[in-house]
Amino acid sequence: MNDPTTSLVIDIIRDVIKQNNLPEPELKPETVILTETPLDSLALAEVVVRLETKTGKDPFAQGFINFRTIGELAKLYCQ
Amino acid sequence: MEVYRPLVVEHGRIVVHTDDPIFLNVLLVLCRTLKKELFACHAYFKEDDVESLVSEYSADLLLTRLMSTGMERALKLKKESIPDGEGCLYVFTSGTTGEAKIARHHWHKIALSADFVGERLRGKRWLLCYSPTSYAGLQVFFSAYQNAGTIYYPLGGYEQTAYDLSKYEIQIISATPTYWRLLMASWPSDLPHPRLVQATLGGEIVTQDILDAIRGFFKPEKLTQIYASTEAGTAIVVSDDRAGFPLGYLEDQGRVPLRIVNNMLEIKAHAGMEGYLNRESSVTSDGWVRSGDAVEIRDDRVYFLGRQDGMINVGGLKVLPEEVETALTALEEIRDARVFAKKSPLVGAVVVAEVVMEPQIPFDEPGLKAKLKKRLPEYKIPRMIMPVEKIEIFEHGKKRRF
Repeated sequence: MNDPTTSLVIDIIRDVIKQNNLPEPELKPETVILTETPLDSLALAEVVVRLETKTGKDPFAQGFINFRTIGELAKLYCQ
Repeated sequence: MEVYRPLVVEHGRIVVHTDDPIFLNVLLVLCRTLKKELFACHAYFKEDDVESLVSEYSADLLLTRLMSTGMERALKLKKESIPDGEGCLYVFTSGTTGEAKIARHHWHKIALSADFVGERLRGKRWLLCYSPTSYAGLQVFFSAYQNAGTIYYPLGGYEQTAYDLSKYEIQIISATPTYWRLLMASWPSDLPHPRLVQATLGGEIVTQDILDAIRGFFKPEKLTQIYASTEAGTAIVVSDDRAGFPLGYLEDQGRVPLRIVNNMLEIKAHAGMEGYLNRESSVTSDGWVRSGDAVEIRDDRVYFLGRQDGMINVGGLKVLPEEVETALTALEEIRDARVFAKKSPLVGAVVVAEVVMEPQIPFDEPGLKAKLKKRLPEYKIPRMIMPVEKIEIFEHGKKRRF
């Protein structure tokens, strides 16, 4: 079982993939977003915008924080 | 390169539409050598736009090479060729009314910046991550070319580029802050970080966090921010690892003259464009270019704040909210629309929209996006569309842009 934030991230990624008619890969916490999903930079930016709208949190308010995987992205919204 | 020479020799005004940077480079060098006029169309231009351009400006040769669709053609458009003159390069830039402005540049001025020529840069291997038809992309190309360098273009994803960087021992990378961010975010954990001779950024506002991140990640000998525009040429070059530029640049006789008028940066261009082909120049009679970029002075430094005209910068590509609003309201199910920027940690900003639907029409976000895709390039399509009851208007009649 994934924690609720990871599940939310996965749901949003799945939505964005669907909206853009992209093929859906398996999405796990250790999935590297930009290489193991069909999301490009704009689509990933969309995921982040939607996450902020859903959670009301902006972990990047002080600047960019590097993340590669779904789990790493989810962690930023847990604090 | 020689295969195209006979074709180029015979024509005077050439339009190229390609997503193959090497093909574009060949034409740039040939047209510059042979003093031809070249229109360098962006790869995302639609076929119709290119064709109306060709007829409006009476081009005599159209060269299309699109790897994405497999389309390749060379169309001779006139019996009589246009006679040779000085030749020039036409660069496309976003206009405030949506239609692209076409800026005319002398071939010999396009890569004049002394910061990019010199022994230190001679014979190096460059990675060019700007759009090859953008002013920045063209400048980097000519700089590398004049320095007898080798140019690489990232054609795969970011992770592939990371491996290629190591494999080909790239020494200089020129990219937007967005590109740098995504490259670092995609860096494979088992791949060592290469040490660069030079890292340059431009095309978007450069913030301290991205400078620090590149400094720590690639440890470049020189980390350089470039502020340039299609109209004014390269105006500001800063290599002190700090965001913004020194206040002293405003009075430095040895540099491109700069001044701040009503919080907006103006540049006295020396290597800028000759003028626009399709509208009046934005350059004042005494040679100052109004950049449209708002700035503020804090202590000994000048910082960029954003655009005065509400232009949205999506990873270095410019989007005008009005243009996207027009495309939205042209759809019969939409009554009104407001388009604005949402700050993005990844690409600087993304385009988002609020729409008022016509009565009884259900809101269907994927459906709206699919329709917009037929009218607009990908980066101009709102990443998020939200249904609202009404659009908020300010007292002065303008839509809110934030």
